[in-house]
Amino acid sequence: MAWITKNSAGMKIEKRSEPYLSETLKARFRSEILPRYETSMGALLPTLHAVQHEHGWLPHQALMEIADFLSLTPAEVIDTASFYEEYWLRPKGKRLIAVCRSIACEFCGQPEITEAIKARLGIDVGETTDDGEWTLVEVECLGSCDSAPVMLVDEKLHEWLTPAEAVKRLDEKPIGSASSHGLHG
Amino acid sequence: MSSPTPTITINGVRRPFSPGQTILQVANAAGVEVPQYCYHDGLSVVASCRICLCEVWSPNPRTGALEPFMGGKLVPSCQQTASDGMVVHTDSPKAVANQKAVMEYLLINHPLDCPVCDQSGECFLQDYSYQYGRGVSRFQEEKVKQPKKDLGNHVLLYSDRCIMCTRCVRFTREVTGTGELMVMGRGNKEEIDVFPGIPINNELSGNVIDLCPVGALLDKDFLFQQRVWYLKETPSIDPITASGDNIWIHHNEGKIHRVKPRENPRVNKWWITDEVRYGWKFVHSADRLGAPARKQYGYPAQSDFPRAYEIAVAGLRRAVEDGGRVALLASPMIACEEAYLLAQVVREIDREAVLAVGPVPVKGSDRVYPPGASEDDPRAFKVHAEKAPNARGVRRVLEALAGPGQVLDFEAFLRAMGKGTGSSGVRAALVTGNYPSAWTTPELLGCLGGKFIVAIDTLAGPHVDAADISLPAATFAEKSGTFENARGMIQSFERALTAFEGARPEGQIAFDLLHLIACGGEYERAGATRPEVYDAADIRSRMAAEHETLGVFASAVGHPAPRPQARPDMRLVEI
Ligand code: SF4
Ligand code: FES
Ligand code: FES
Repeated sequence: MAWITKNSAGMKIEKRSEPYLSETLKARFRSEILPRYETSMGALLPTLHAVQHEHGWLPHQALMEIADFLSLTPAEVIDTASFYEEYWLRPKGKRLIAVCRSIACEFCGQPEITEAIKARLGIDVGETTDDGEWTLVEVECLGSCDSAPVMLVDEKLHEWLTPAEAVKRLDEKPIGSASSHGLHG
Repeated sequence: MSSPTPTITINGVRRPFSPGQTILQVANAAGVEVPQYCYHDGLSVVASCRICLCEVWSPNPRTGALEPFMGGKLVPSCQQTASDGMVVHTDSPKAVANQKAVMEYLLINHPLDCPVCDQSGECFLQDYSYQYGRGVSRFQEEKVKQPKKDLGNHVLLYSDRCIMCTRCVRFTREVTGTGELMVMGRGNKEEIDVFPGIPINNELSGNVIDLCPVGALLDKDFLFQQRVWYLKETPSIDPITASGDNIWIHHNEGKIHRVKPRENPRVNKWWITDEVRYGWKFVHSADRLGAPARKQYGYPAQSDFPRAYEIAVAGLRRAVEDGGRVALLASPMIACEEAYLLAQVVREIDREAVLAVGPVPVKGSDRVYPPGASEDDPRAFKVHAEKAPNARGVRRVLEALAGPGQVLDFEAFLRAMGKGTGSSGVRAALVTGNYPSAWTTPELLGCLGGKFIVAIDTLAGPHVDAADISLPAATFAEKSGTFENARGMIQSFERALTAFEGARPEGQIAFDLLHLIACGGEYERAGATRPEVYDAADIRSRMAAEHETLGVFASAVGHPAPRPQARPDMRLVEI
């Protein structure tokens, strides 16, 4: 077995001088998010959502800033963020396609849908197009089994898909700016 | 019907318990083995590893008839509080089936690398695999491969061996409050890690290595040093700070290989600082003194004990004959018993000898973990700024001899010594050290000049070179004794190693000197009888008998708890 090593303690994260949590953002979180939670741990999920919404994903520097803002440790923040695949710890495209791969959708033809989208965009599952426009992922049950197979494009659910129909939906205009950051953006 | 003391029945035997205890705690206290990974007395309960599940029946409150508890589901014994009349099975077919399933599940992605794993021999996974697992694996797919990670100054993580019990994560969140460790990801991809670039370097970091039930968290210092089954363990006490932390010295063939915390709920709980954990290196320092020396033409020349003792006694005596005083600087690093004997040496020569306690190093200020906790919190752990194990004990003993208020601290000692014969007419001094690192100060050197000096120490240093006679002493690991910690608890420690070649414990040196003095100071004459052999327990009873104020040494010494007899898990065959 190959010997894989990782220098976790000595790793450098990418940093930029401009903070991800601007003063305006913090002020907004202070008035809109913090009062709703008893503990700062409780405020973590919505804060992560809001920061991801702002920047499209959650760079490590942003996680450190969130930790600082909520008086948590950076490890606690990434622990939570890495639990949910809807939080993006690596950059993703401007728009996100999430095809449901759970059992109902799979039986109703999901594999073909994924294949069709892969062919149309020229990328594999988990990849982003070269122009940075699209990212394709497969997710577990979206809670819409009755209309399987389904997929989410940004925040819009597309139901009763066929491969051809799925590809066509990609041409629809994104709804509002909010949706341009994908799942739960 | 409930009995006066509530009881539960575990595997057919009734066990009393105190309300609030979990089933697992009752079993552990009674010595009934229930397999457990994620549970730890010092951490919160998460009941996540599932190996401790047991079958529980409880009496129906109305009819008293036994019924399956929780509808007959297996219950995590680490989380379920015991209630009177419960009947618990950890060896029923259902419970055993679960143990086997959990073991098989944990071993799916676990490498079979016990032959090269440091934990091998003290690994819960290995032991339970042997006792509760099956001999073969049905898993034919690819194992998940995870990296070996560098997590900090002392800690390595072989992630592929981790069973995700999260003890380590809970430790950094609940005990140190520093929260460096985390679970990254989810499901079969989850792994323990630190935030990139933020290492686990808190001053208690080494404890995560002890906590880890498997060989995932490893000690860089101990890595590949020794197979654990070669190690012998000796109970001891933190020798370099005033904490009185209980420790195990793990050693083999005369060498210490590591120090581990020894559980004591009244002192260090389950933990020790990294300072104490790695603070034993001076025992094997290349600078250890290995032979007595005497000053010749201004330079130390190697000597032997008989000669050195003779010169020492003669020199001390001459100081008194010349109308001077003799002083003892008893270091706070030596045992109470030794301070007692050394004080007797100088008082044998000079009834009015000056008794002083050596310098007590202090570094920074006391700290309590988790930050913000009160010191008296049963979960709190205190790190002591005072870097000497026995300042109080040495003072207590000297005061019993010289009278309260008559014992000098180091500053007062320096003043009393002064230059030349000093303010109190001191012409000779017995100076002991045994510090883990250099401790001579220019002030000390200055006031030793012009006097007859006998230095008893472990490591070389300028004051040893300057002494008329130097005698090589033994470190804490090479003798027994007692230390009194910052909270006034007197605790005994045992000898782990034979004394460094050529060195003797201060207590033995004191006995040798006392014997020589009793024989008129001539080694030839002394040769016919033998000096007493230093034995800390004997001296403690003597101290208590001779001085009322030292009665605590008979009544209030904390001794290491007797070890539960390890029983072999194989049948012994007579040959
Ligand atoms: S590294 Fe050890 S202590 Fe930490 S979760 Fe894994 S097995 Fe448990
Ligand atoms: S399985 Fe696809 S929505 Fe439930
Ligand atoms: S010890 Fe009870 S579930 Fe882990």
